[in-house]
Amino acid sequence: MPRLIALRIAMSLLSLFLAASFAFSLVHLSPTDPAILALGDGASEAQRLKLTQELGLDRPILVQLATWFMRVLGGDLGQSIFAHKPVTSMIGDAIPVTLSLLIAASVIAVILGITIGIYAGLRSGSWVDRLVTSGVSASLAIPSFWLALLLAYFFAVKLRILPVAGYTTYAESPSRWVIGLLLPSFALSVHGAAVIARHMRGAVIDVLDSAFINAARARGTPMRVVISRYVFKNALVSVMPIIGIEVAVLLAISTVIEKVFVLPGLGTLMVNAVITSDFPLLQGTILVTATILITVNLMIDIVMGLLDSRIRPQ
Amino acid sequence: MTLAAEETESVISPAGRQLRQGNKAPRPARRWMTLIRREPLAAACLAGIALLVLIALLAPALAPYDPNNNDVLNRLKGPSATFWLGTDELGRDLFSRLLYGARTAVETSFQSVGMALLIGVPLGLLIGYLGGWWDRVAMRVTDIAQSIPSLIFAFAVIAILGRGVNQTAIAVGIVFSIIMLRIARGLMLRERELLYVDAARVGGLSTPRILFREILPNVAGPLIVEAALLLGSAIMLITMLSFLGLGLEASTPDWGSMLDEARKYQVLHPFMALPPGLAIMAAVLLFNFTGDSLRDALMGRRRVAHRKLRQDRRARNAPKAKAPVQDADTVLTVQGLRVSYLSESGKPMEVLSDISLDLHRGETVGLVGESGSGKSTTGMAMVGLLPDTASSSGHVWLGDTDMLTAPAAEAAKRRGPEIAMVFQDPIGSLSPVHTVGQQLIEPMQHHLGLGKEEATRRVIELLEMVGIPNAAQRINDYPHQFSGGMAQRAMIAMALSCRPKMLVADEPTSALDVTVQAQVLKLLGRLSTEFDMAVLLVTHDLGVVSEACDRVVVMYAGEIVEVGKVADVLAKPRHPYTYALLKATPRNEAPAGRLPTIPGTVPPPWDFPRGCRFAPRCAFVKEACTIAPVALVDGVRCVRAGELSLEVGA
Amino acid sequence: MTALLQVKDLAITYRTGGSIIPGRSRTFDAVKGVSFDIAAGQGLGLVGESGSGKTTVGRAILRLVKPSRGSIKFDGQEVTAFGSNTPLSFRRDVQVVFQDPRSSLNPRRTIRDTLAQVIKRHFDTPDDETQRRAAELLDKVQLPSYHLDRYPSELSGGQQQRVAIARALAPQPRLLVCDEPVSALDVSTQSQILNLLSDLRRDLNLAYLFISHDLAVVRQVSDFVVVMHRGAIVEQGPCETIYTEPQADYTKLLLSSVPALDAWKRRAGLNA
Repeated sequence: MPRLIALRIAMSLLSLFLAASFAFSLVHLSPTDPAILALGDGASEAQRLKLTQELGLDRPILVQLATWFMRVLGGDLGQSIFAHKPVTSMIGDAIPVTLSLLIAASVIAVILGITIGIYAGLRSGSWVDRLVTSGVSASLAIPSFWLALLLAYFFAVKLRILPVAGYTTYAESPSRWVIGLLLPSFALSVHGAAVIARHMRGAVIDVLDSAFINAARARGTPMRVVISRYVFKNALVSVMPIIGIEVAVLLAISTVIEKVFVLPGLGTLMVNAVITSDFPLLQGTILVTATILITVNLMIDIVMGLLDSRIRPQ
Repeated sequence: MTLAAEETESVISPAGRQLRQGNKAPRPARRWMTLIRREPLAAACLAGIALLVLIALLAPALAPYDPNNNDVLNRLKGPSATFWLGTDELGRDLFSRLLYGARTAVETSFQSVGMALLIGVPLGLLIGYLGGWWDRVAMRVTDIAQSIPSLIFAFAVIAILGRGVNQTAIAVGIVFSIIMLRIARGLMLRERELLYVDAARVGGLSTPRILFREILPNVAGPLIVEAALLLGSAIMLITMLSFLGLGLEASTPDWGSMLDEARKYQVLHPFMALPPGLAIMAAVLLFNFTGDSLRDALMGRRRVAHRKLRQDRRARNAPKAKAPVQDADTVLTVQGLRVSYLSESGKPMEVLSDISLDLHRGETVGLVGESGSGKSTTGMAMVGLLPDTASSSGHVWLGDTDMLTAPAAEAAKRRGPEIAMVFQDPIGSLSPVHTVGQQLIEPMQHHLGLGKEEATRRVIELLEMVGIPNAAQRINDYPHQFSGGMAQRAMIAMALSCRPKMLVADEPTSALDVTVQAQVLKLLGRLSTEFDMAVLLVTHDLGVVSEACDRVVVMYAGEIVEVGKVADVLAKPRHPYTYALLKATPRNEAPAGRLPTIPGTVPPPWDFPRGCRFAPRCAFVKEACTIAPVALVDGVRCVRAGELSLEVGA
Repeated sequence: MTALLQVKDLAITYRTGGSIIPGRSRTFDAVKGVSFDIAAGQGLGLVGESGSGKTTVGRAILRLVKPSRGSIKFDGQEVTAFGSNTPLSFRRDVQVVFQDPRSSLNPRRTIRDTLAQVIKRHFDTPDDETQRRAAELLDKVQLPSYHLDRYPSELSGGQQQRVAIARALAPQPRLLVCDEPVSALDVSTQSQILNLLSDLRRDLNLAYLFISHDLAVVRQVSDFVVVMHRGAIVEQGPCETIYTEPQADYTKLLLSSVPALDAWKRRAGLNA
């Protein structure tokens, strides 16, 4: 097990390095001169040259990469071109918003998805199962931002029991923090719950058909034990990687949810960075996003290693 | 009669052929008709897509207004006769914008998926086919790309390329190309392992020909399914991008930006959010359904029977039957067992007919037959584990419990202490994510009520008894760390842990090497004496029967054709099938001319002959054989049993 | 007379566990220095249990895996020296029949297509000649010609194996590698296919490399036997010698482990 963890951490660091290189290369992939991007079209040639020197854009690309890495490792992601603030502090403000939303939605999605998936899988072919399957199909087709709009309209505009928009930090008021997150995290979780339920149902049906379930029944193990011990764990093992993928999808969808509920999170920063061609901010947010997801996948890998001995290195 | 006279007749009935064809490869000309008839849902979905494309193409003709025509006097109006879906904040007609939005959605999604098909698929197939270094490097690179979610990856591409219809389609297309590359590579890796690809290489076909003419047609189906699902994702991604104000220019009518406008007037004019939202949902649903139903059509419909978990309804409906009087030696009595399944065409097919059999303490009975004879089903019926889709009649008496009709919980209580079973694939019979020990102690915990420590202690003893070295350490291993032979020993140890009166061994050595098989057979023989149990040894190998059994039951096409002591049956078989099977089994001796054969093959259950089921393949057939079903008389099911003298040579 | 096929000191190593970091993947020696000859028209049985490396040897001769050491000479030509493109003449001379007939035929091709493309590839025949030859091949494996327009899934296992044999015969080979060709078949079908293979060998003067775990089956079609265990040859010799006077302990164990049809006689003797 320690070997597995060490191996996975090393692989995660490699992924992180490559993701960072990708973020760095964004500026240089753009057909427009980064200095022009920063200054806008109306800038004079003198201004452009000055900034080019300031940013070190005239030096060899590998030198730029190395200096950029050194800065990033030192916690400096540069200056936002548009907001004229350090990117690190902007991201620092946004991270708690996005993380609370993402964690809340993921927890709801996992709990709902696994419960519904097992329930339907054990009753495959019944009317309950058909109902769940259709519900899942519909949930997968509903655009999350539309669902969020409808929920906001119903609970906030019509019933007036929940706030329409905005974010209250935990430090300001824990109760308002929770209430403010209720609608966004539920709206975000629906897609995840549907995907997880769908895979869990399939996994349960496959496991029920496998030889070892037959063998467990043949040795007289009561069905409730067969389900709680063998079906559950084996199905969970095959759904774990899906959960990892789904957290990434939820993080992507959180950008639209943040927009609907006017939450000042990473997604909002990222969208503004793209609209204003604010490359330092875009690089920073992409790097942070990748870090979050690589960490999530590392945790999933470790849990998988605990659940399933086959993937541990021998 | 020529060598293969009978086998050359098709062994598959018309019903069966149709069934197989649907699963695999229908002839091109019939493909569409077959699709509509067999998969109405898939056909409806394809029609829906055609309609969506038509709307997109004809939007200019269908739309009552120019989608960008401002009309400030009529802003934020509800639905009316002039504006069917009302107007937006600039007074633009929402219905017209919705139709043009379909145009945008179809254009961008088809462009991006088309790009993925053109770039991702060939690259993925090539990387999968080449394998090795190419594959590992490409996978590492796409891993990174995939560690960033599609939408955010698209952000980055748009930041570089700028906004616009084409840019958005390209951004999504790049993301999808990576996804398609991975899917195509995965399919190729799986396909490459199939022997027909090796056969094509040995046949001297060139690499491009193998890739595109041999493999591509076989992976095309799954790729089309993925493409359909990606079309749905494309619409979702593109509308999200334009909702965020990133994708398309403001002037392009598009469902995502329509929702963004609706968001701003959420309180004032909530109706605005409905049409575009519903449109997106309908389009995505359409593509998802198309993908799913095509997948079902390709894989063959998987009919999942409704599982009855808690209660067994059969138990309440079955008439109460009385257990027969059994002598002290008899462990299990099978009476008139019949089992049938519903074929896919809805016709019942009987796979077991009129099976009656007694098993006694201390004897090993071989149940022998070719595939399709029903020998394994008989074994499963004995432990009361026929699949839920089977319907059965008759009785399997284990003491005074009928394993066929007893409630599930009642039957489960008998399995372990009274009857136990081992299977062909010992490693597959163990849950891969639990240790072997965890599973081996289970019967003793449930049936004998032992605590964990006591059960573990006894399991170690049992494992040592069946010849597993280091048993105390090995119980903490997982199944994949066991060899097949060792795993089968462990399964036998577990089966014996509650001292059952009877053991059903279903091809316990067929998956093992011949040297290991000899050891396991020896072990089974020793244990049946030591535990004084009845052993039913299901096998296809008469050699195994000769080595290990006291009595033999020969099955053919769902019936018992001959029963008797091994020495009698093998020396002087009375049924022509037993005789022919004995003659056809290759012996470990020098070949003396041609091997005797049985012409033809075992008929499938929907094609059993009316009279003697072996008659079409029998060398001694006469007219009386084909008229009516033949009864099992005095241990043999043959009209001519009295007159034939079938001596097996030395 | 020189041998048709000469295998000398053949070794094959597999890499297990793919990793892009060099030196990190482990290796597994599947075949360790194997040598044997097959003369024209000779039947050679290659016997071993799972993990013995017998299938890998066959795949190396067919150029489906790359040997790490040793030489394979066919008709005097060094097979391991061919570049990435195997000469068509070699493909014509050496053909294969695999164990699983279902997966060895392309499910999306009719029998006619399967046979025709091999015929066309090797002889570049006009269409009507190709058709005539396809029907002739089917006749050789004793299948009626109406099977030509069927798909593999419409045939039984035995019929599929006959088609696989027909395809192997299409280029008119001199050596046929048979990798467990009857293991997936029922006893009654097994003997039909074994008889067919014997007939073809006699009629076409084919040499066989017959790979199998089943000693009794190998004996029916071979003149010479090679016994493999864990990647190495433990014994080789003419059939009669190996089966009646085995020298190596492993061969003896293997022979004594085969369930014998007349074992009941021995057991009855013991009980009496």
